[in-house]
Amino acid sequence: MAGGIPSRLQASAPGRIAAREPGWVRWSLIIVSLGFLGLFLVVPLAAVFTEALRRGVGAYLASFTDSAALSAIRLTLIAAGISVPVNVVFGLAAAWAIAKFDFAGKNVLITLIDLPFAVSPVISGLIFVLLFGLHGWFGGWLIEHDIRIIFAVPGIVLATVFVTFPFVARELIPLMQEQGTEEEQAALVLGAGGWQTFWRVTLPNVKWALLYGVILCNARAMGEFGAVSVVSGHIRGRTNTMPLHVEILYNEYNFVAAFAVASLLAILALVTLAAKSGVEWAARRASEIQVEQDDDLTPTAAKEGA
Amino acid sequence: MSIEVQHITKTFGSFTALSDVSLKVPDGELVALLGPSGSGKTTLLRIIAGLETVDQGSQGKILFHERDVAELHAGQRQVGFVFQHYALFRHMTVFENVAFGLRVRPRKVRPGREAIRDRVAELLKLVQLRGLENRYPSQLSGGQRQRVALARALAVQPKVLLLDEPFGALDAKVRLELRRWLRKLHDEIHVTSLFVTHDQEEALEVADRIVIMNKGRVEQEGTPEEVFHQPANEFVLNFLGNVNLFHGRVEHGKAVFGSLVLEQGVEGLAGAVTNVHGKSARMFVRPHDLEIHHVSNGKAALHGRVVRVQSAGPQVKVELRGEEGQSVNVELSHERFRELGLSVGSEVFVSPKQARVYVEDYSI
Repeated sequence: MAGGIPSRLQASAPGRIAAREPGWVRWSLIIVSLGFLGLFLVVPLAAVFTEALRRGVGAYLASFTDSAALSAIRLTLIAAGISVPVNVVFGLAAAWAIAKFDFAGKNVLITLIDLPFAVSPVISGLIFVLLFGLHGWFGGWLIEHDIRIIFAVPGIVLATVFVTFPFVARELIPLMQEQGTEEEQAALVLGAGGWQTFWRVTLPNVKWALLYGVILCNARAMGEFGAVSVVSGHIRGRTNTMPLHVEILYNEYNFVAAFAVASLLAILALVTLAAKSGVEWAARRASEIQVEQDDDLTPTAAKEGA
Repeated sequence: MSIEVQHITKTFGSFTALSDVSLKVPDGELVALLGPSGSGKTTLLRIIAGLETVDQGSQGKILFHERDVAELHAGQRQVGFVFQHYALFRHMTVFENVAFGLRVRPRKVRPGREAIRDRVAELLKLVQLRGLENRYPSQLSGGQRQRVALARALAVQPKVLLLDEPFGALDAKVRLELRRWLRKLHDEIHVTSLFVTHDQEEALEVADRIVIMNKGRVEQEGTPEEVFHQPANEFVLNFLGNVNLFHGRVEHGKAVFGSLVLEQGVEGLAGAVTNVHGKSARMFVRPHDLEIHHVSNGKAALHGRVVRVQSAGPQVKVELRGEEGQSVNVELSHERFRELGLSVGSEVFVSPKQARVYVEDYSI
């Protein structure tokens, strides 16, 4: 309730076992899932770190001091650093508009927000090439004014923003719709202005969902390959992000360096998972504490209500 | 500060929520807006608060103490609004909720930290919630939340207090206690208040005046005694408590309902009825205005058979089946009930002590 995270984050009721399956069913289910998990998640993860450390820690660390690697890391951070804030603003604005107002074309907007999920990332990248590329719609104009978008940093940022823009909005829309507008109206009647209402009422009510969206958005922004690959041009030291850099190194048979950079992305993924669980835990705890105290209160509630 | 609403019209698409509504809330009074759901009462309240706008081009006016506030933003109208589901800020403690209206003031008129603390403490004392400053709304009972909402609304020292179904979401017992408490509170602070309710009992018990609404119009306005004892029309009569309806017709200056014949002297039957001979008539009698006898006592009476007796409660409720098969509800005291020795199957006569008769579309 108060934590304000969509239902999928809510605690399942503990100890509610509807029916007990026979032992062999339970064990085979567990073995199948663990086997699957091991084969597709744990083994590859282990492989990444083993390969990265094959020639020892020295070679592993040396992979990062290479100027191309550093530049790839920097570019990835720039792309994520721009697309996450942009998407936070867009996500809040879109969710606010969709949840709190009625307007024509609302359903179209909701559908459009999902577009990047539906479209292949490569197509997303191509859209930008068609728009801003040499032979694209705005290509001539851009060349005249000496502005480079495709095969340059702005194109990479654009592609990343496009691919990641559903994440924040998707988290916020259902929650804000569920919360309705009454609290905002109450704030308004009490004399709060638009900004005050936003900072003091709306934002605190969605903070966990927002944080969750930011984490997912960031993970995708750093890991995006397809769309970025199309617009990047793979110019070493200039337009390579980490995932692209990994591919180049791998194609050059530089396995240790490729896996070393890949391991950074893997670590990022693990950190993301940990942060995500942390947010879920905190949100659940916030609502659980309140429910607990609510229960404590029940017997006296009627009396105190007098 | 008095509230006056003049010729307000509000439509949502093709639905007319309010049509040409006017009403006045005198300074310092507690007025109930009473009506069934969909009667437009909440819409009217929200328009007064500034949360809805009146139709463009309509001549409607909203006056607070003779001053037109229609152009003022909700936050500038100095109203306190208590929402039906309280709309407490769920991430704030009780203290923060109550202090909100003071903290969002522009720096120049914002009270200092100490002053805010004192004011909140004073309000929490007023609503009897001292000691719960650090609770969150989800840790409070319904009645407590209601009172936090009230304290929050009062914190900004509103000129008028508007309450939307203030007791709607509470269980029966808390509801009863809280509405008495609200009445007492109003007697202490005397802020002009308008509250919306669909519960006639609540309105009759709490309010100084009642405005009865139906289908976007005001049906009647008056003190509880006036609207209850002199209902302006059938709707008001029907809405304010249970009532028995009898169908009959006017014959030779008398209203005839089966074996029950009413002459002059009955409320609503004053004046000559000769000139409406043959018109159909409807008689309304409240259950407690019917008398039961074992024998026809010479007075106009209906014959009936007892089909149900419900004696759990302050009054005994008896359901009769009339001679034409219609159901008649009677309420009588336990004393009278024992005296009569009624049981299911008893054959009895009922006669009205008081009745209102309407002939076709107009009351006579």
